[in-house]
Amino acid sequence: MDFTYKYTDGQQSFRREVRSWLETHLPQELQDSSGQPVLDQIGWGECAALRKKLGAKGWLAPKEPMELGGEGLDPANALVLFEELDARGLGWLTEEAAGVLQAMGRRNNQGDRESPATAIANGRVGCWRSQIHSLDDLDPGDWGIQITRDADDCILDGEGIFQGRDPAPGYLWTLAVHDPGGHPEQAFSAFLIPPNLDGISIHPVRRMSPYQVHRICFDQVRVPPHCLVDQAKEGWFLTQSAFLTPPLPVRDRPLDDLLDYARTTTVQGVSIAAEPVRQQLLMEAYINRGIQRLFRMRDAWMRSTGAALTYHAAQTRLSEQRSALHLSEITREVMGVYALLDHRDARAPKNGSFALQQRLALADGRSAGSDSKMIADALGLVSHEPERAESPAA
Amino acid sequence: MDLALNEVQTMLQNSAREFMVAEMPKSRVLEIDDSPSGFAVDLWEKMCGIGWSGMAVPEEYGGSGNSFTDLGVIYEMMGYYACSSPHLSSAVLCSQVILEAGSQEQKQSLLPAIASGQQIFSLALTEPEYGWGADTVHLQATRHNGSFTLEGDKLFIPDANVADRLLVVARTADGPDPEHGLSIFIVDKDAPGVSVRVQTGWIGPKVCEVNFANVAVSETNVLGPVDSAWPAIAKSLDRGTALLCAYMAGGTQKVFEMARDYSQTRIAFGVPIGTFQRVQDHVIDTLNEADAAKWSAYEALWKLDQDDPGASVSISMAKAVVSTGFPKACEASHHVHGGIGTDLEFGLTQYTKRARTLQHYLGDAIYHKARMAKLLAV
Repeated sequence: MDFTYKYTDGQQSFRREVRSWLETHLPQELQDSSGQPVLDQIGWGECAALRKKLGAKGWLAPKEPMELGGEGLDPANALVLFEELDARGLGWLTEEAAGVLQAMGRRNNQGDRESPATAIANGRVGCWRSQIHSLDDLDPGDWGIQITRDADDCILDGEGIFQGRDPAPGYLWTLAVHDPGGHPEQAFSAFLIPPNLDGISIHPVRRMSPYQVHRICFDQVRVPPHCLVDQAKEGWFLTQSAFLTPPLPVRDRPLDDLLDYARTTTVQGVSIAAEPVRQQLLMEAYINRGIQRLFRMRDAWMRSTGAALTYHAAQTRLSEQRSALHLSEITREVMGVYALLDHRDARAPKNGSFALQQRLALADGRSAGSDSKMIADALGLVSHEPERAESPAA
Repeated sequence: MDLALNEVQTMLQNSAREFMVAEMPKSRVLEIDDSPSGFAVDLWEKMCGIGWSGMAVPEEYGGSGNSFTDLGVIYEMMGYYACSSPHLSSAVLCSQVILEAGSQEQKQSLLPAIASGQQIFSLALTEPEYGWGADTVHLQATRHNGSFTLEGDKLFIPDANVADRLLVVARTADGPDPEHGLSIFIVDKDAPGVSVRVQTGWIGPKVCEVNFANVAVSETNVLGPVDSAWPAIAKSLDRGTALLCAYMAGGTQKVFEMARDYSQTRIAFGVPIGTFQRVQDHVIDTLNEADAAKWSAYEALWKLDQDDPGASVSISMAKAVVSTGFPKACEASHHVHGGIGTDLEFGLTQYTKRARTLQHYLGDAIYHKARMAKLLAV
């Protein structure tokens, strides 16, 4: 057995290169932006400039081939890059572009599709996408955007919720349904659509999510064939492979921040981390994080050996979701009302990152029922042929 | 990263499974649990015969010097089959205390007997103020003319009733640092002044009250240096705790499988109860606890084998996980089973009893979380 991620000399050298690059190019405004869900105008301007620089290096979609605007990094180096960006609260920059680029490159179609792909890979534009937490969200009968064909074009009608960080999107990654009664795997198509097509209207939505969430209405929107990603009815597979990949094995900053806060904050001269009840809660959060790390490691190891994951990925997601909510509860218990102050308040600890975690734990959550159902299915709790067992009375 | 068992461990796992299937049907578990001593001599002899009692002892002292992960594989299987034996007390905790604290002469005279299983040792540490830190040890050992006298009580001592000898942790000096002033005494269980009583209750492995009334111990039976035994005890407790976690992980896996299997076959309202979402939630809870227990235990064992500086944190984390997870999984499994789960012959209660007993043994979740905070300087 070996429970360590080991980085090779090459990967460590790449880490030094990334750090050095970030030291040179990361503007002051973004040095610690982790508590700011929506950047202000100056912050966003800096962020957009940084995204272009990252794009120019192929680091927005680092695993994608160079011809698609990536850098063709192997997964381990891509992880190193993500770790370094995420440590600065900027991991989302690569996540957003990489998903779209991965889907665009699935069959490596060029031609008309090269242009948006290149624009996204280069960081010139951002993308909003249909909000999906798990494949269970893709219920054809319940999906809000429908497709009808008109010669080679598709006509989109309906509305859906979209998410993205950009104040205004360059493209909309849109899923639409062909056949509301059909099987999910064959019912959806994916499109990369400019938001200025006739019939598209965008309305902000006020949600728990700290990020930009919009309701977008499609009123007889004529979508030309080059906006279709890959083949028709491939939307389910594209979504699965590009956007629902397992979480990367980092993102433990909220707990580190909380431990740091508890160590350094004193009440009547004593660190609040030394107070027994709070100390127990902090360790509970630490243990939860340890279990998440072990589950992710197990899943990654199983994938690397070609073993079939049955319930495992759903279990990892489910326990991450529960863990995030538990951390949010523990944060409030440990910090008190300070946990609720956001980045706009000068007294907010850690630039409001705790308040952000509170909201994310709720807003990023999928319905726990989806993952539970997947686990139950994998355990054979649904499909098993009934066979009468000994009853208590017997 | 490689989470697979190696060839030796896979072999050990297979042979342990075969052994347990043959020796530990649930009727046998019940029989041992119901016996006054909670100990089966024939089972213990067979375990020793296949070398398990010597696995934690280096070859030079008659053991096989296996890694803790190797032993963890056996412990996981013992937990899965609810196997009771003095292995943890004797072949792990006491052997490690002797290895860490004993003189060369003491190691040579004591360890081979433990490795072969000829003698059973039990570690007498806990007292009426139950706890696993040095601060909870108050039993006094006073020095008179070249020997010591032990006076006081030890409580909740596993396997003391079947042990040949006890390793008694006692206070030989007082001071501001509770870790200083502790010594270990080798005491024959049948020595004058020693009395052992099996404590009663719904307790998994039997535990005993041991009274020491003016018990004389010669200086030659002091294990290691006087007053400074705690570091050796702490190291040994870590090793024993990591293995206990593997045992409890095995038990948790079993109660998950029982819940899953029962929910697939028990019919209510014309369908298997596993089709009910509330029942599924209970089964999933047991699975989550089982997987958390398994991986945290194996990571702790692996770190122990690597002599990793973070091993103690991982061991405490694993014990906190299993101390809450095993009992919770049992309770969830009881919810799935309903009435039949409480039938003593059905098999689930043997695990529940162990979960609730072992939850406390070698430190409960509260103790280990506090220890983690100290180790992590939180």
